[in-house]
Amino acid sequence: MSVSYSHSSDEQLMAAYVNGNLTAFETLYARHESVLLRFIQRILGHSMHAQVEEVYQDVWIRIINAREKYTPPNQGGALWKTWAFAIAHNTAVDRIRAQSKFITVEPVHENEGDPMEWIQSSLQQTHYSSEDAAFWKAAGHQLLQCIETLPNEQRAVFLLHHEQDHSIEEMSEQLNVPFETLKSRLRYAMQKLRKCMRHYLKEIGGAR
Amino acid sequence: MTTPHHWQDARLKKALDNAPDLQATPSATTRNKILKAAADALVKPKSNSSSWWKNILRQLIEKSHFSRNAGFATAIVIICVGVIWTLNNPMNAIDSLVTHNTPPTPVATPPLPRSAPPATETIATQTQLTGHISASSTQAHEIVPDTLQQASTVTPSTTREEQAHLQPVQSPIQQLPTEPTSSTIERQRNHANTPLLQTPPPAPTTNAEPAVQIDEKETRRSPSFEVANSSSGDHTDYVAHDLYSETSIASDSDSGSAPVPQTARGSAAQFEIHTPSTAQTQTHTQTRIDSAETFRQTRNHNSGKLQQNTGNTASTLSTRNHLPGSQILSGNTSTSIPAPVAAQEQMITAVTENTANEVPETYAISNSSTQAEEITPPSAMFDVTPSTQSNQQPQNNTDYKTLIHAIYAWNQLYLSSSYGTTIIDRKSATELQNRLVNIISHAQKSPHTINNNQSAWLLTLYQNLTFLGTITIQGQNWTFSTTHPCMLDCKIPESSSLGGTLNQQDAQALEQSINNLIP
Repeated sequence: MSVSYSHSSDEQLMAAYVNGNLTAFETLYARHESVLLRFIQRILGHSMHAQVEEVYQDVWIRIINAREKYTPPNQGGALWKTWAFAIAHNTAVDRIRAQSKFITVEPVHENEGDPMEWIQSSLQQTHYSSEDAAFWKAAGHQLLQCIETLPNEQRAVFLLHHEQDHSIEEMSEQLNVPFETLKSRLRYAMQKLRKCMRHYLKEIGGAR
Repeated sequence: MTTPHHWQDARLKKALDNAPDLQATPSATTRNKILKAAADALVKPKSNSSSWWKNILRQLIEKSHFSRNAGFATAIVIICVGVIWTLNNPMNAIDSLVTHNTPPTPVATPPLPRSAPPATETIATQTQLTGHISASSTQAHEIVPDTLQQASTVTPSTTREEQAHLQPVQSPIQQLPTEPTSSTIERQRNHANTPLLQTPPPAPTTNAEPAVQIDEKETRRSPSFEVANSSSGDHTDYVAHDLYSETSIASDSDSGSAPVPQTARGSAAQFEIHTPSTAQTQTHTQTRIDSAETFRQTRNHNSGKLQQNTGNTASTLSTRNHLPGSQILSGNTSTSIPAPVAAQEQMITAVTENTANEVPETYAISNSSTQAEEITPPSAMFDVTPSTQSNQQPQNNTDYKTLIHAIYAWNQLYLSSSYGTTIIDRKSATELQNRLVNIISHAQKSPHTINNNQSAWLLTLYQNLTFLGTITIQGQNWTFSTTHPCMLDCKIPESSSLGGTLNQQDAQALEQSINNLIP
């Protein structure tokens, strides 16, 4: 008798996995596979693109090994997603710190990248029938390039806040970083990104 | 409980949600590894029963990168030391040490009595012999008085036969005065020790033979011996005896010539490569080398590793004052191209059509700044280009005209849409690519200045320039087609054609965009 976990919450799936149900973990993994990979990929940036899969695997191994330490919200813990993304954040940041001595930090100018890559990626818009979708895809591509120019801390806070909808309080609790520090990081990150994305934001206008 | 703080920017969030990496998925291998790890974690029992030393060992092996690194470094050091030890043949040093530390006087064992003497006599005899063997005079001096005393006490109890054996040693002692002064004792000591210390063994002993052999071997292996042989040019002896230069010996023997160091032979080989029998062959060989290198470089460019030096090189073509297109006039708009900043390697001294018969000052196709001398530009693949070093007049004017046409055609790209067939060489194609990158880079910084059709046309032109042999741009709709020769083992058949077409409206719009983009 197979049990469907499609409607179970992340916390229930994790509890089932801790109790020995592998299917629950597979459901949990399938649910967050792409999101977690994208989060790690964005934090590591293009310069560490080759290590994304390795870090991604490391994150899941840590989640598996720490499965019994996870505390659901009804027992005073955090949401599984918050908990897992905190692990992903810490793993990615650890890797960035470990590799920082090997990375040559060069000043990255705004809106600068490989022109050929840019034109190739822009050509991929042609399959979009909607001009709006093409615009937002181009804006998303531009935003990724802008995010890479941010310092690691600001980048992580912005992604956790905008991509994973983590509130500053949740981030402060999970990352053990003071609230005001996170607030400052987020404010600086958004200032830089808005400046970097001004061509796109100008067309949209002030609408939020 | 306070409300959680959210300062999300909806525009940035929407852009983030539409980013091109939205559908990123890990590889199947990674996915399988993770799921397998999850399954193993459930199956694997907790092993708390393992002993403490196993846990430590496991931690060292699994977790501690430092231990692994240290072990690896230690192994490398051991290997290096071993190699150096082997190459330097440490036996030489050991042998020399042995030679130097060996006493100048080998052990001269005096004839021993055939029958075992009594214990007291044995002590006396051994003490005496020890005093003789020792090379240190101080030790000998310290031993001698004891020996004298012991010998004097032992003498009454010895047999005549034993006394006869001991007689040569004891006789000078027995002649000592009853109460000798210190000076006389010293003299007697010296007298007693001198013959034993200075007498070398006339017959070779087992200890002496290796020393002689080692000395000979040492001499053969010594660097001075190598130098002497080398300078004398006697290869036969060099081959026969020198153990350290087998490589040089082999090469010298093969060539049958005077000894040449390895580096010199390498230079000679290169010289042979670059010195064919005819000048035509030389030019052809060099052309092929340059073409292959350029092909690889441009292929790397095409694979996304393009270096953004557009600001330096892109303006090289049109900055020549001789060119009619250097000052571009489009309607009432005057467009001047910025001068190149650092285009030393790709410098092309262009000449106008009117001065096509003149020899340019420099026409280098050098791809590397490390080249000490100018290389004859490739001529086999494209047109002949003269070298100023040879001081020869060009064979024909096609080379200049080709280059000029290439540059002029590109400059005309801004002006009109009527083009003719232009055959350009590899370097000009690279220059055109750089110009394209410059245009695209400007367009990138000013979004929505070129549409997808124009982007596709520019990209196709860029890609085709990588494999360029000839280019034809014609018509109002900017149709271009290229043929590209097969320079290496490329899969594209020779003279195949690729191209792109831009409609007239987009062509004109692109022209206007380019004029606006490039200040």
